[in-house]
Amino acid sequence: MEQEFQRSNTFWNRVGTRLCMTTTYSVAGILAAILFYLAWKGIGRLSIGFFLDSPIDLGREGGVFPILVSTLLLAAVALAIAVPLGVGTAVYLTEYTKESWVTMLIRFGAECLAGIPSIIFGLFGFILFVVTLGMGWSILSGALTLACMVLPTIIRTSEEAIKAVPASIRQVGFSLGATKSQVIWHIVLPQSRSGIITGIILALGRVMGETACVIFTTGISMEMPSSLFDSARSMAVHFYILAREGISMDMANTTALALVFMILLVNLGATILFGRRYSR
Amino acid sequence: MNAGVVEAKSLNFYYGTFQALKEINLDIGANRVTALIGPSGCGKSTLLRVLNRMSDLVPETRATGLLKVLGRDIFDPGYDVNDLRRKVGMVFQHPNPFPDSVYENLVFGFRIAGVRDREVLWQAVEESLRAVDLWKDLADRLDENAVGLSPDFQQRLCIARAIAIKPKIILMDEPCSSLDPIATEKIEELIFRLKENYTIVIVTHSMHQAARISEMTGFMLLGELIEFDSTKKIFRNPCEQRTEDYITGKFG
Repeated sequence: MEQEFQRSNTFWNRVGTRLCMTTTYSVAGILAAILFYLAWKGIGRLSIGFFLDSPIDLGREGGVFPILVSTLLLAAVALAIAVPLGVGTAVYLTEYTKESWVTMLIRFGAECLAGIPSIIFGLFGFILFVVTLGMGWSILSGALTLACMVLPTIIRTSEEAIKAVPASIRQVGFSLGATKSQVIWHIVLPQSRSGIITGIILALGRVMGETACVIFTTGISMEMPSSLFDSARSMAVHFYILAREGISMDMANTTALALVFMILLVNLGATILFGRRYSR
Repeated sequence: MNAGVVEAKSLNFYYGTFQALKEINLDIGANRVTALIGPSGCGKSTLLRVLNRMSDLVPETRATGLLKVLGRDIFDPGYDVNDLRRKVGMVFQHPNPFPDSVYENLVFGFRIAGVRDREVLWQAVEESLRAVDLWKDLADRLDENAVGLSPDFQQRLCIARAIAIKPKIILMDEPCSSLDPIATEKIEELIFRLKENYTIVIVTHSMHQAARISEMTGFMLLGELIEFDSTKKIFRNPCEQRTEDYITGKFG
């Protein structure tokens, strides 16, 4: 009887291990397939000039330099708005409020926001920032809209990271004469930094790869922006237009490849800069 | 020399409606080790946490009566609780260094006070590590993450962190309960030496420990301070039957 149990346990244990392994390798395989396809299709037009030249003939020739700059600017401004707001909200929800219907409502609202399609955000941004507030199609309008879009991600990941800081560590802070804000600033935020940065990296990926809401709010100008009030085109939008309007599939693929590598590089940079130092 | 640094008169403390401390009268002298003993749930840790108002961190608590620490009524609404905690340091049951370098652990109290002078910080680091006998071992490892140290080193580092900001009183809440006997012995030796410069109040589950390291002992039961006297008297000739029953192991 005991032997049968053991045999059965070993069998299911093996099945479980294989199943998990298969799913993991499948996911890795899908990612590798996408990267391989992009590289295969896009590497032909990739060169230093592609990154440093301006687009010529609607993007059929030349490079993507102004579009690259616009994308980075858009992401930087969006995160500069969303990170303080998101982390601040997370700190407030976890440190300064008791669980009540108000906090539940805020959390529920944030979760609903996370599920709204980006094109709805685009429409909202268009009506509020572009038209009503008179900002026009501009990097600022786009960044504000993108900030609204990624706020829920930043709030939820930051909240979880902050909650994971042990109470015993906070107590030490208080016992050494720290005020509540000092405990948050000197203990809670540094200890939860790697989790918060994970949320920011996720948000960054979404911001850089977003199309629908950027078309509505930032426009499609291929010129180099001279201020945040200029219309601009992001890499994802550039790819969409090149492919959708049949301008050049080759350039579209190269743009997609460049965008993917840009996101990988920025993520890697952020992880090296902040993640390693604090992920203990 | 032995002037009272902690003076409690009719001190009561409540968690919501539950009364955790009942009519506590206590006078703790300077530069002594005072032990609080008693069975689990008797209120000794609560009493310890009231002394530097760490009890404020628990919601819906309140205290009545008089509690003077270093000559001042700590329940006075105008009293700065953060200043109190700088003067009355605390060491917890489990070693709890910040997951940061040894150096950053030791200078935390200075950082929050806005001290930036590197010389002052270095001096504090060296002095506090020497005080807990860790200077030789950690002088070259100040950048190391404190979480990677042995439990004994971690707890001594926590004591060093508490004394770095030069408190007058150190509260210890079962500081040896998660340490092995050898590490416990080292901490006890340290406590014995620290009393030259600090007043120490220690909560302990070990009666042997209380007998070894303290001059004064308070026995608590169900929120009451049953007896408070010299350790010798408490362990050899207690006035109260309940104290004797606890000491002789009849309950607890």
